[in-house]
Amino acid sequence: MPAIDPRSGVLQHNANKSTPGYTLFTPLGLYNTYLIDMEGNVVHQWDLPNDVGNYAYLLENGNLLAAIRTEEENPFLPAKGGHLIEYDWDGNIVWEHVDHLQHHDFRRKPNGNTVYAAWTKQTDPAVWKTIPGGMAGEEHDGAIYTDVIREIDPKGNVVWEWDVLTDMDKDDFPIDPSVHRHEYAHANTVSPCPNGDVIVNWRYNNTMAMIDYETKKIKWSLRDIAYGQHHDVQMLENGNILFFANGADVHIHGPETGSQVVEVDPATNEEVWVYQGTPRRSFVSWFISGCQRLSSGNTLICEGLWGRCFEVTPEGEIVWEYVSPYYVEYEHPAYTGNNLMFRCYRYASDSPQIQGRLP
Amino acid sequence: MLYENDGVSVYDKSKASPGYTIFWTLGTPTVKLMDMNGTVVHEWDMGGLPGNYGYLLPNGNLLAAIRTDEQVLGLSAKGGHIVEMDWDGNIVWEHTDHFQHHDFRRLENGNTCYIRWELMPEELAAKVPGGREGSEHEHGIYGDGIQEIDADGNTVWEWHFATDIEDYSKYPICPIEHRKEWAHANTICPVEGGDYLISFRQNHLIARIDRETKQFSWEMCDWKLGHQHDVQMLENDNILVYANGAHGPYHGPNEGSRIFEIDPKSNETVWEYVGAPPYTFDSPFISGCQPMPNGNMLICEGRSGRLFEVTREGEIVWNFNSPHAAENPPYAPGRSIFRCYRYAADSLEIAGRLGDPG
Repeated sequence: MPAIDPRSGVLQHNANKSTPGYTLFTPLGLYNTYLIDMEGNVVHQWDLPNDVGNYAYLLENGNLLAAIRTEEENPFLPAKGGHLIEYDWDGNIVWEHVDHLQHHDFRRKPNGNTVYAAWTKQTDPAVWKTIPGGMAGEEHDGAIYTDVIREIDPKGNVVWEWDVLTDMDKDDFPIDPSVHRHEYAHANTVSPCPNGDVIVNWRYNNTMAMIDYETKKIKWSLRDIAYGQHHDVQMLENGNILFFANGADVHIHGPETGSQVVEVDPATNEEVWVYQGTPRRSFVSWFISGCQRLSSGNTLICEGLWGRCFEVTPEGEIVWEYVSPYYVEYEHPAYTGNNLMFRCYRYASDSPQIQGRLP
Repeated sequence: MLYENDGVSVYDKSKASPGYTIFWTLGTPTVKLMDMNGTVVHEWDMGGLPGNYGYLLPNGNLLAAIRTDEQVLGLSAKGGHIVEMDWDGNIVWEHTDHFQHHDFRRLENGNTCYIRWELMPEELAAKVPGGREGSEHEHGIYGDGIQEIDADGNTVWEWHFATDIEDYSKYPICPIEHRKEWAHANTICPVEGGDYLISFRQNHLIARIDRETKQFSWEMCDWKLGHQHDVQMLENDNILVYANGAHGPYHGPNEGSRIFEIDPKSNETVWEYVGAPPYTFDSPFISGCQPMPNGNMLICEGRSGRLFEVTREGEIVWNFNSPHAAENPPYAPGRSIFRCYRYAADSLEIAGRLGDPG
């Protein structure tokens, strides 16, 4: 198939400029989390009981936190998880929590609690009327699934909850006019800040917001359709916001469209760093995908649509590039024939996540 | 990332439909004709940039539109100067209309039809539904007209979207598109009886215009067309269209361009080509398709300058990624191609001037 990159594994590596470490990813639709070295060798893996929903990452205690897709509720809901599991290095379950409508993102907080996104199914047309925007009549099987951000303690008790229906002025954040009304508004990132505030990113209304943990008010937000339904919004150590701007549904049509990774100063919302493909059409993922600022100042980028992760310098030079060889070869509700990847993460060998278990 | 293996990477001689393929890379001054191995066998130096393509006539000449520097409105795919050139590049016919854009065709009777921009009167522009509020052109809103001229350049038939169609409410601009143009016609295809098939990009609308009544005798307005291009009628009276897949409500691995063959009696899709997986065939703008004599389909995936041929079963039997890059903005450094056409060695268009296409 000429349009598909027939190459896989590590395509290029400039060891003088890359940031050494191990890269963790979980192919969408598959049952394994892989940890690879800089040469693309799998140095460790975890077997999962079902396909992932949507990713896994390593905690500072060295364990793996993953979400698994459960069969309960509608399996066609995009990026549905349902079962959060913490595994030790050897794959033993040390903690778990079931919430069948959990989706996309989940994070362990420093206090041991876990925060995640979940849907609430709204079947009451009176509630639908309060949800602005989107294509008229395009609700999902008679429902709109709305987002709740939920924090649970280690025993699974809900200790904090934030609900788009009650805690957000929805009229300020309508669904894009060209998007269906299945969800309000497809949260794909829940990212705690160092001070405890929570960054949430919604795809269908092109909105990223910082929620004040105490007051539950939105203290900062950025909404610009030109970024194109972004993902993986996060606060950097310098206080700036880094995100993957997918470039979906941008207004211009022409050869110079594609995804970007963008760092903005939240004080001004001005861009302080941008990565684009050269040419731009060479870097495009209109959904999923992510980014991670590395200790060297380089950025690891997950171009999820193409199962590709790569590392770029601040100047935009690609110094490491890997394409996943793991394709979904069975009948999956969404991902048959794909090598998609939601996010990837790099951990140095001396990091708390690796714990000296690898050279 | 999108993988581009320059040149001809697939060629199954037992299944492909051999011939010479003509294309004009956007942002370059040269129309190229190449054989099945990607070797350029003939070129026309156009002395200007494409607006937006060129194709060969049954008399063996080239008909093409060149972008002029007058009446530059900042709207895409401007032409302005339609020229007919012989094999050696001599101009044998020409017509200038600085508002001409996108498409033009020579009719069997020797007339020529083309699309042109027409500024809508303010009171009509105010009725145009949809699009992003406040995104109008500095002049207002441009509508589309069709002009049919005889060999001397006299207008023999014309049609105006703004005044020939009364019910604007059925054809809103896509909600995330601008309001500089109501419709952005990108295809004008003559069909039986002097009717025209036309494609309006801004509205996900394809329609057949009745020559006598000037009304739509058939139409399809559906976001599934995804800002479509190159609508045409097949010999079996079905409608073929390149559905770009842009600005639909769903984004995921099933997004991409598609070629649809539509039965106009039911508006049902009776055949489609989709990438495997779908996202590997995707051009959100320009692009086209041409049925081959053996039943295959030649496809121009315009954004990346990929031309390829598939069987009815979707097997890729010829694949070419153009290495010819644009030299001029806004297309440099891209390799975008609006459309391509293939002609067999024994066709009227090639007229015996070339041998085995390889």
